[in-house]
Amino acid sequence: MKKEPRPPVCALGLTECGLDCLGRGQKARVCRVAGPNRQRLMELGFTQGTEVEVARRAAFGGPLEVRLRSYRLSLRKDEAGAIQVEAVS
Amino acid sequence: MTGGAAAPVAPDAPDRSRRGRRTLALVGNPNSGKTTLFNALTGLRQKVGNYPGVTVERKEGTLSLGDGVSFGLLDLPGLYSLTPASPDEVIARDVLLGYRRDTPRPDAIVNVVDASNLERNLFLTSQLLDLGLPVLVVLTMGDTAERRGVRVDAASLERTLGVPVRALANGRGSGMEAFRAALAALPDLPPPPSRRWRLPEIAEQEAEELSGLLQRHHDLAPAPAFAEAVALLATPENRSQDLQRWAAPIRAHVARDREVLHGAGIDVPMAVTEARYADVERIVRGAVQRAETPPVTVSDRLDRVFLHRFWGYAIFLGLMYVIFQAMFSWASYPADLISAGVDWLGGTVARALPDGDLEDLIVNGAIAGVGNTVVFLPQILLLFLFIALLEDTGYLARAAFLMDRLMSRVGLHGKSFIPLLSSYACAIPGIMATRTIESPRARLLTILVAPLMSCSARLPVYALMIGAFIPDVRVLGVFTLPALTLLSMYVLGTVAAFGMAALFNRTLLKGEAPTFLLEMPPYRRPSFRTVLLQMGERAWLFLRRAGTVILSITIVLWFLASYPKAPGASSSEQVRQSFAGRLGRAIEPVIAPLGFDWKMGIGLISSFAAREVFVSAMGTIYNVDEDSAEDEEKLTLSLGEKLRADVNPQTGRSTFTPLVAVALMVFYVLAMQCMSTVAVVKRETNGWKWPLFQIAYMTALAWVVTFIVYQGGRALGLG
Ligand SMILES: Nc1nc2c(ncn2[C@@H]2O[C@H](COP(=O)(O)OP(=O)(O)OP(=O)(O)O)[C@@H](O)[C@H]2O)c(=O)[nH]1
Ligand SMILES: [Mg+2]
Repeated sequence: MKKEPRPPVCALGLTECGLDCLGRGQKARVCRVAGPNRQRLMELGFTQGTEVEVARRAAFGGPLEVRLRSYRLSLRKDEAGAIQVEAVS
Repeated sequence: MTGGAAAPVAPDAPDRSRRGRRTLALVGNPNSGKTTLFNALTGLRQKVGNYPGVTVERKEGTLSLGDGVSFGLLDLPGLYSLTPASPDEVIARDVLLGYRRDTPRPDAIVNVVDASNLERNLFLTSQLLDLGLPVLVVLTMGDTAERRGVRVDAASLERTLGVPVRALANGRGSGMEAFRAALAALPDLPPPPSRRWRLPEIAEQEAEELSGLLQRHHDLAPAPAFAEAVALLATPENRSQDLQRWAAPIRAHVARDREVLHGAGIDVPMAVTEARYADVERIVRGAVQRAETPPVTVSDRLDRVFLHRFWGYAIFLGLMYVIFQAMFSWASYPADLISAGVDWLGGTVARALPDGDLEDLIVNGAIAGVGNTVVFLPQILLLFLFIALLEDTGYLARAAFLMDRLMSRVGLHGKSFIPLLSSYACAIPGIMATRTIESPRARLLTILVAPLMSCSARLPVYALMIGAFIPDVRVLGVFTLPALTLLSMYVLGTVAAFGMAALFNRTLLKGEAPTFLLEMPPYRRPSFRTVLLQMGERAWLFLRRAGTVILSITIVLWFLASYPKAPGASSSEQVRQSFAGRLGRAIEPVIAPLGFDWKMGIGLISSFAAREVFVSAMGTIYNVDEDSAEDEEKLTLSLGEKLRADVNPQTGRSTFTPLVAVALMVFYVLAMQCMSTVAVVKRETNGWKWPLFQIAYMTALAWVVTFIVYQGGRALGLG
């Protein structure tokens, strides 16, 4: 089976950081997922190359709300930090 | 078959001419509309709500399709994938794969897919298609999708997936007849066409080998065996308890495969998930038309306010206050009406019956006891109205988002917010709702503190005490003292729950911060029907309890308070000498430091059956405690007035003072006085350890805090 052409992701590793480093409204592409919830996060759609956007961050260092695959998910900073992303300019 | 006790129940052989009726299972992501469809198809009234995790149990109904065709229909908790992460997902997965002994494996799958969230929903579909069972896909939420400028072509989806696809709205719509016909044909459909995705070659080979072993050792058919093999290879190592049900050779094979694949640099979970999602993306591209610029939805606009970093919290607190104020002021008119009705009934019956024990039992035991409880029906209805509105609009998930920071500080979970808020209604559904929490530790912590949240059975006690002893004055212009007092009781319960959670989190249940993954549903207009049904259901439960548990306890209590007869004694002396009086006096030394006398002691003891029994117990005791000579006048007094008039014969002071009333409410907030909760905690934690611990700590907490309140109040000269 042939692979779909995908934009090259995370090849240079220059602008990579955890998802929690993004500010409100910023967009990024997923590079890889680590941590104890790795499998669940991938199943929820955080696969390589997926575009994600930080929709908002709760006050007092609370959870982040992320948009991906046209739905909205909130997750804590720790979990977000386990998702390595590459910022999309 | 090998594998001993841990082996799964043998899945049914391919020929489906089994005994019993055939069953279809509703399977889909959380909040995709499974229960809505279940209710529409079966005519049942299971709970529907706009947040993920409403259904946490398996429910079966009957699906009559005409022509004598009738199937069983299973409603299941939502699933994100077949690798479960929380107890409710385990239930759904186990039923679906036939791992449960009490439920035969379903014969076909009705996969409910949320059209407004197609990609993630189809990820599960991709897993379901591999199970070797016939599948029918139902597209729901077409209206929501349209509003987002998304149009899903069911016919194209049907062609690519190779299984029937039907679109429905709210479990209704023009297509319903055709849909029923499709359901009737479903179990006889062939299983879906073969897999649409592939693993890297080495992994593919290992999975085939493992699948062969599964077919040999566990009698699985090829398709489910391969699906299981992939799931096993993808199971993270920290979840190896999932392997226990398989035979030893299989466990050994999985362990070896992991090494081989690891050595080859293949990450199976990632490979499988990415292969599936890549396929899903292709399907979606072919079946979905999107608007050029996605419109800004109403939900987005509302959330700019409701999730605002400042206004979000202000609105949250404001909402909570409005709810409490409303429960007090709006409920008073219907409550007065009911109360007048009960008095009238008591008076009429008293006049109709000859004086004597029977009259006393009916008027003072049954009517006064049950009547005093039923008076609180309007407040309970209002509470449930508000909870239903919060649930059905989708605000509950927002509240969980706002509160997560606070929750995480005490080791709880943003998702704990939903069980805790449900516990304001009743701790039992609240504790059941903890099944959606992934982390066992956070779940246990939530279960341990949930009964501290002030449930609706305490409301009659508060309402009685506040109505009788808290003056109705305005404070700071907008607040009234009774509403503020009521609010304080809820705040006290909540603060206690958080405080105890923090304590347990630092001592008994230490561990890592639990995970929090919560999907944010769109706001929806609450359905009038859903809200009314929910209120009706709760009202019925409350009245049934009043008519059964409370009535019978009240009657028993009447006997205990009326016998043995003390001839010639005054009626208050009679109660003191009765069985109930002796019991109350036996525990008086323990509760006297809290400001309670033996009559309240009787109330406290009888509350163990149900908290609201306190009110009817007081009603019975204070009615029996009445000289018949003067009773024409006294009968018309409300229970509150009787409590206010009661004087301790030894000290000559009032038994009840505002301070005692507050102390009593505080005790009711904190004490574990509910048998049904104990039973549910035992079931959910699989043993007696935690419910017993919970009774012990809550009783101790209640006693100590009430002691401080009462003695502190006296020292300040308040009582
Ligand atoms: N707009 C719209 N709303 C729907 C439709 N079907 C269901 N809903 C609403 O979606 C919400 C979720 O419905 P449920 O039936 O409780 O969903 P569920 O899949 O059983 O959810 P869980 O039990 O949490 O897994 C409720 O608020 C329903 O009223 C639909 O076709 N269109
Ligand atoms: Mg449901």
